[in-house]
Amino acid sequence: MHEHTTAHLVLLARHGDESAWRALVHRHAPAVWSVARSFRLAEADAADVCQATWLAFAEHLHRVREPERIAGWLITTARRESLRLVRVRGREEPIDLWHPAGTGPGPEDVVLGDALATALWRAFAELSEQCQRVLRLVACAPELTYAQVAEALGLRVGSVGPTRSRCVERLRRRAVSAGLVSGVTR
Amino acid sequence: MILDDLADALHAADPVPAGVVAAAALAFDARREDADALERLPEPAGVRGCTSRLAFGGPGVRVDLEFSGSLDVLGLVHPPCAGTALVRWPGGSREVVVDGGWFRADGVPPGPLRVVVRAPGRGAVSTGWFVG
Repeated sequence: MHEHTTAHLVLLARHGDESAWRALVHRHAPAVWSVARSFRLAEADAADVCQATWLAFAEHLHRVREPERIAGWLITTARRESLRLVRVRGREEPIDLWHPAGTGPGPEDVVLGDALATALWRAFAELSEQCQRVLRLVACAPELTYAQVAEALGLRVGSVGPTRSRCVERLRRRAVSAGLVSGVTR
Repeated sequence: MILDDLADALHAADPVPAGVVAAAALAFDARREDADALERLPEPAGVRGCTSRLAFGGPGVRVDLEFSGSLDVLGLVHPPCAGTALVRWPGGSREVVVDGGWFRADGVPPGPLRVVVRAPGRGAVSTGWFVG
């Protein structure tokens, strides 16, 4: 189904085509997941956010007016649910910002299949939270417009471009100084 | 492009769990409620202790929800009515009585929920999905 545009898949799914729905899930699940994880939600909470987002989208399907923009809708919905859980969890237990519980392995614990990915992941993990959030989103959902990124992250539209450039540059510098990224990534 | 490489690294380091993808695929089958959809209202202030609140509204009706423990739901329908409230989650549901606008459902499973309120003579209204 990868040859279909997102807008076409939405129209097919709206008419009951389950394989089109699965293709939409396949295409957008990483971005929805990364939004929840960018709020440092534990895996179970991130999973709940994702499920609520897709349930809401299944219901929203017949009301979609701009099917080509659903990536932004999904991400904004996931952000809203994530923010709510962050507030709820923050009241239930003190959050240890230095050692957040259940947000997955620390950067030093991860050794990925290839050295480039490992270097990038470690360089990424050392960036500021804002940079991590912006880069996660633009890497996992490259089709988003700056306006959608701004809405999803609660930024001003005008600041998305400069923030993105600054964070990409920091990532590149850290990866290069780690000695593992040279001419491979531009 | 460094962002493409980063996307690959993120997917390798923190992949979307298979269960999350499976649940998303199943969301397609979640039955649509035969009820008027309520809009999510701004979250009410005045939270006490370990409770959290949500509010939903539509023309002439408002449903306030309060969650405590893991997971008790207390609801208030305004204007007050008598009827039933159905608390639904992806794998099941529970129906409780609405009396004077109040209803209570204790021990519902954590995770996505929605609430459908039915009052004779006033039709049915449904909240959207939210994480309880």
